[in-house]
Amino acid sequence: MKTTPGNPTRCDHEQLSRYHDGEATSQEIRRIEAHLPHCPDCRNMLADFDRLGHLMRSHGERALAAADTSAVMQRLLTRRQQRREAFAGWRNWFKPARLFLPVTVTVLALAIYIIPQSFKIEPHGQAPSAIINSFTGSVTSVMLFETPNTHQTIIWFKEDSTAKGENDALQKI
Amino acid sequence: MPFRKFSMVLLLAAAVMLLLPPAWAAAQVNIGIKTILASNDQQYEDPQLKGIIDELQTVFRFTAYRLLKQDHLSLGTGETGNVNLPGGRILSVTPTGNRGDRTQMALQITKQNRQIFETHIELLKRGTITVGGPRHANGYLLLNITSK
Repeated sequence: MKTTPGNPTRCDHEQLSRYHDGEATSQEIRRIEAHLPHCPDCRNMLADFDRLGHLMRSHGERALAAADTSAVMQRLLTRRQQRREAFAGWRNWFKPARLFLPVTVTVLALAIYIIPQSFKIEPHGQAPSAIINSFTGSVTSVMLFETPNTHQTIIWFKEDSTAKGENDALQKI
Repeated sequence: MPFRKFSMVLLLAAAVMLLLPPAWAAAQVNIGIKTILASNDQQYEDPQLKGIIDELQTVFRFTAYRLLKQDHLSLGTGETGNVNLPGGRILSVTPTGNRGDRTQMALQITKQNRQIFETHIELLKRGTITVGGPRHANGYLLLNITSK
């Protein structure tokens, strides 16, 4: 780091490198551009950076031109083709499965839903065939039974024969 | 791709059907009603009641079981079906809904426009309930009601 006569700012080669690479901040750019007209060292260094960059780019382009990219591309394509052929059988097997999967799921869902509705296989267990929620009427007695084998519910009631019209009806029987 | 769209529509329909109540299942309730005369005047077992009599005999001690008539009703929820019974009685059956695997229904017996009894039951699908007690001739009526 140094200052040159007539140039109050110091040489900063790191800033100069960033300036060359286009990475300097606007403040650094202003400072360097104010410094360069007064500093032949920095101008020379900047020219060196330019030459070095140009040299590296030209070397890279030559190396790229010299490389047999078509052969590399051909090898890549060949390898890809071989891999595709190796998995072709699996892919063909999975293709219809992939297409029919939603249909299969739908059919299964419908089957699970419809079959129990249509062919109700009831887990009756010990549950009575009927649950009596309410019972009203002109009866003198009501008895509820449940058969031991099939748990069939039986309601037995005795009609109220004293009710109006009952005796007449009984006479007609 | 049309197939994919079709599959998606099918999946959507299945999802809707799984979430919504089974509309078609609740559409119609098929009910079979056997009107049986049970008595003690003789030994008789109606061949048409084979199976039913064995079950009834676990509770009753009648010696004769005779099938008087057989009726079938196909009813929607809230719809009432009537069956004429001996002695001027009428059995009215009204499905009122579903709860799980049971059909909710109201049973009513009337005679000369007078209600003898009314009961609200929940009958297992493919389940049977027997309602008995009305006197007829020299015996009793048994109404064997089956949800089909």
